[in-house]
Amino acid sequence: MDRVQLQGAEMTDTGRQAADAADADLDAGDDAALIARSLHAPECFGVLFDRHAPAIGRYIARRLGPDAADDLVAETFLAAFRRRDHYDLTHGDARPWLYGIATRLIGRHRRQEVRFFRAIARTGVDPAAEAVTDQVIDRIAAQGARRELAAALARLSQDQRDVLLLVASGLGYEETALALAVPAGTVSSRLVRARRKVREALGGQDPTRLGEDAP
Amino acid sequence: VIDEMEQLEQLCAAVPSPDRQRLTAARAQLSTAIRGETAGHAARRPRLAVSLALRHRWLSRRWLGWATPLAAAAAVTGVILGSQGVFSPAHRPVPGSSAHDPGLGVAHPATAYVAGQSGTVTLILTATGTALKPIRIGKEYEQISSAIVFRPDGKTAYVLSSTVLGGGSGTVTPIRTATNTALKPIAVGQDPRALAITPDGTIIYVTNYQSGTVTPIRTATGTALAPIRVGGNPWAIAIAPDGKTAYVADTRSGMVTPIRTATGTALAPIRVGRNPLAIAIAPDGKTAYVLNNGSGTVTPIRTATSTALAPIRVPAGSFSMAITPDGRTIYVLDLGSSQAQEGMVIPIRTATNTALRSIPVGHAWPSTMNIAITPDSKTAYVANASTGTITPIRTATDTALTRIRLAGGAGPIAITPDGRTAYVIAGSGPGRTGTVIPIRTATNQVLRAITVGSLPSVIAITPAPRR
Repeated sequence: MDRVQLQGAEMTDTGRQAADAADADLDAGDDAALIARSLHAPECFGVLFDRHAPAIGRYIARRLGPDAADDLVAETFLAAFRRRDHYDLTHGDARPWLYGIATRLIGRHRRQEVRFFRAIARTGVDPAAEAVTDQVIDRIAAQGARRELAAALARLSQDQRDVLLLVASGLGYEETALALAVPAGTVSSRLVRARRKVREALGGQDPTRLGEDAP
Repeated sequence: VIDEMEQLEQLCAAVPSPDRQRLTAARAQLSTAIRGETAGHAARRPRLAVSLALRHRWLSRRWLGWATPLAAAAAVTGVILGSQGVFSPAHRPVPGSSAHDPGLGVAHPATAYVAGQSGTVTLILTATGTALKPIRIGKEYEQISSAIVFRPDGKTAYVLSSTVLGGGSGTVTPIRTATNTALKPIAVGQDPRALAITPDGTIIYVTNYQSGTVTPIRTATGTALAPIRVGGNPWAIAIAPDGKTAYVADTRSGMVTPIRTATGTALAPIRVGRNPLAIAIAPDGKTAYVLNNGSGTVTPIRTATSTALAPIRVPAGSFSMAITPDGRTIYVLDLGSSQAQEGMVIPIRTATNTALRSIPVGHAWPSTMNIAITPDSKTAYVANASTGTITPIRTATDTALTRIRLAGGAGPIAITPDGRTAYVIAGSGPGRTGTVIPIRTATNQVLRAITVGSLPSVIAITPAPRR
C-alpha cells in the first residue's frame, strides 16, 4: 500500500514535468508558429486563446457590453479556429487577425452597439467599466466627458468607430489596416475624420482642463 | 494635455479583463471544436501540415478573405469523439446477457451516465427514462469529461476529465454506483483522451495525449501507478478480452504499443499507419484492428505474434470505427472528403479482411459521426451530427434503414445491455441544458427527450451484471 502511494507521488511529479515541458515548448513560438502547428495539432490553438482572449474580450465588451462579449469571444475564436488554414503565416502576431474577426462580428450588432453607447450617454453609467472607485475611471476626467464621448461614438459611422476603437484599444495604424483589410492610407483618413467628429462633439469642453483634473 | 484620442484610450482602458468564469465558457466551446476536429478531420488535410520552414512560400490564400464564411461559426454541438468508450471492453456486452431477459432487467436496471462540460454527471434510469439529481465532479465549464467506463461488476463508474484552461490536466473520478457518490479524483497526465478497464476490473489505463504516456490506475486502492511511456501522442486504447495485453496507438509515430498488464511493461511497438485513431479487438482476441486516419487503412494485427497483416483500404480521413459484438463486421466512419460528399460507413468483413460497399449516411462535414451497435449485433446506429439524423444499418445485409430525424442534433450514442433502447446525446450550448433522446430500437421510435447538464459529450450505460 505504501509503495503504491509512493509510486503515485512519483507519477505526479513526472507528469507535471512533462506538462511543464510541453507548455514551455508551446509558449516559446510566436502566434504564426502556433497556428501552423495547430493545423495538424488542433489543440495548440487553445494556447492562442489563452494568450489573446482577455484582450479580445475587453475590446468587445467596450463596444457591446460585457454580456454580449461572452458570446462573441467564443464566436471569434471558433471562427478563427475554423479559418486558421487561411492565416497568413508571415504575420507573427495574430492580434490584427483576431481583432479583425471580432470587429466583423461586432458589425453584425450595429444597432445594439449604437444603443449601448446611447445608454451610456443618457445615464452616465458604463456597464463595461470597472467599479467607479477604480483609478483608471477617474482618469477619464469627469463622468460628463464619458457621456459626451459615448454620444459621439453612437453618432459615428461603423467604419469610423471600427478605426477609432481599434486604435484606442492599442493597435497601430498598420495593424488596424490588417484587421480591417483596408490600406493603411484609408485607416489614416478615416481616423482623421472620426477624431474630428469626436472633438467637435466634445466641443464645449476644453481638453486641457480635463487633463489638469487627472491625478 | 488629454486630447480626444487619449480620452478614448482611457475609455477602453477602463474595461476590466473578463473574469475567469466568462472566459472559461468561451474556452469550453473552442475546446469542443478542437476536440471534434482532432477526432475527425486533423489528418484528413495532410496538405495543411506545413512546416515553418515553408512558411514564406505558403501564401497562396490570404486570410483577409475570411469574412464571408463566418456563418460557419455556428453553435457547436457535442462533437467529441464518442468512440473511445465503444472500443473499451466494458462496452462489449457481457457474454450470456441475453437481449430479452426480463428478470435481469428488473433486478438490475441499467443506468446511463452522461457527462460533458457541466461539471456534473447526470444519471438516467433507463427503466423509466428519468434523470436523477446530477452528481457534481467539478465546476461548470472548467473541465471536459470525455470518456466513462464501468467496473464489470457495475459497482464503480470512472469518469475521465481534463481541465479546459491550461494544458488540460487529467483526472479520473470514481463514482460509487450504489450510493451515487463521487470519490476523490485520481490525477493522470496531460490532455488524457481515452481509458479502458481490464475485464477483471483491476486496472484502468488512461492515455495521456500531451504527456506521451499511459497511466495505470489500480482500482482496488484508487491510486495511479507510475506512467508508462508509449511515444508521442497516444490516444486510442483497447484491452484484449483475456485481459493480458493492452494496445495503445500513438498518433504521432504511427505505432501501436502492446502493454503487458501483469507487469505494466511496454513491449516492442508495431508499425501500423499514419495517425492511428481507433483500435477494435475481435471478441476472440486473435486480431486487433487499427484505423489509420492519415493513411486511409485499417491494419489487422495478429495478437499472438504481434505482427501487422496486410492493410485494408478505407477512405483517408476515416476517424472512428466499431466492431459488432459477434466480431463479424467492423464499421468504419468517414465524414466524406469534401462538402459535396456524404458521410460514409464502410463495412469490413473480418473473415476475409475486405472492405464492402460503403453506406451513405448524409452530409456529415464539418461535424462528426458516432456509432453504437446493439448487443445482438443486428443493428448499427450511426449518428450524423451535421444533419441531426440517425441511420440504422441492418448488419446482416449491410443496408441502411429509414433515417431517424432528431430535433437538436445527434451526437454520441449508447445502447442498453438489453438492446431495447438507444440513448443519443443531442446538441446544446453553454448556459443551456443538454438533452439525451431515447430511441426504442424495436420500432426506431423517438421517445421524450431527457434533460441533462450543459454541453454533454459522453454517454455510457452500466453493464449487465455477471452471474
